[in-house]
Amino acid sequence: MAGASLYPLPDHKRIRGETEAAANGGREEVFHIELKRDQLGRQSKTAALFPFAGFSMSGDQPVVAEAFQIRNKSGQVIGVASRLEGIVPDSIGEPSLAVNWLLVIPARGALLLEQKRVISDVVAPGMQALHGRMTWGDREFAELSGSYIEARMGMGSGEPKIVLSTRLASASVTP
Amino acid sequence: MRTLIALLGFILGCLAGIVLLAVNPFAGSPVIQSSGQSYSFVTGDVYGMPHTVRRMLNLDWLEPNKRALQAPAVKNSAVSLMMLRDTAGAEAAYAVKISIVDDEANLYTGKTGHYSYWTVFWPNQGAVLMHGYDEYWDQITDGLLAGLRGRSFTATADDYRLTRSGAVANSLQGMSGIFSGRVGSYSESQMNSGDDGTILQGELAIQIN
Repeated sequence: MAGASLYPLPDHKRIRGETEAAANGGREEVFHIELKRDQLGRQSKTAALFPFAGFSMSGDQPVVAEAFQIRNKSGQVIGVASRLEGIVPDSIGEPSLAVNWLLVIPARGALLLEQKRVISDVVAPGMQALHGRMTWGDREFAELSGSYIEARMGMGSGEPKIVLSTRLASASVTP
Repeated sequence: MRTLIALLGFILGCLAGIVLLAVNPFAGSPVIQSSGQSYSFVTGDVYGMPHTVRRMLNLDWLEPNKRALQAPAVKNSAVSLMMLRDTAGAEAAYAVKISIVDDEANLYTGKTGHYSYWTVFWPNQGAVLMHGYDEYWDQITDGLLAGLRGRSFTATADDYRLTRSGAVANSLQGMSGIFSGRVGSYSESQMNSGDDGTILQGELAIQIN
């Protein structure tokens, strides 16, 4: 029985966090997704049953469900993420776009990012950014809240990439 | 002769240890009874760590996995994409489940679970986040006893209820649409896929208050 407590069950390797202090408080951390390497499911044999982009039921607005590996600024894989996008009724019943990212970094915790309204900027040629808020977290992210920007780059040509830039602070401070 | 006796003693000790583990009095918190709307799922879109007894006991060498996530930081994580079906079998919602091993899991205390995170989207309605703890103790002890019977650590029951009472509650919170601001709970059971870690099949009971 004593041996049972020493038995080496699976564990997580912790990759050093790459957070930076933000100029006006809080901390900034950038997550990268290289679509060709990091999207999970593209080669799935069951893709016909579960298309990964633009699939819908009954001809309604499409729901997009995706899963990825996520990388830190240095390019190391540090976690996994899901992204759900679709049309939902807003507070007055009007259709509105809802985007939810769930980032899970096994050795650190999880955080939920929400974009409820379409606020987009063309920040550079071929690059569009969507803004949203972090609304929930656990473990390392439990006491944090803040904002994020989702930027897509190289979608037309080159290496397609999603960059999630987060700016988080203690829940009592709004970054 | 002494070596033989020592070897026999070691083997019998190991077997006794496994039996003691299976009846570990420290393990086995009560099962949470399901309540709420029931959904079923079956998917082959499973990536990363398979929830088989051998893999959960870190016996990777017994079980090569073509869909493993290779990076060390996510090696012990699993991602599944699926459609949830209602009790009539109709497509109801889309879901992504991410689970990661509990890095404080310990066979002695009988805490051998995974933290799990579900995001579920009902088209034209809204989405919720569900997070909780999946306890695999029953499946692991079942597999250990099967191993004693020479059945290669393959769990034998039809299904296992993963949701237990304990420190981590399985909770739900609305993310968007008609579920914004709402809370609830969920419970999960999984069908036993034996040694096939590429299929995930089970049932969810989702209660949205």
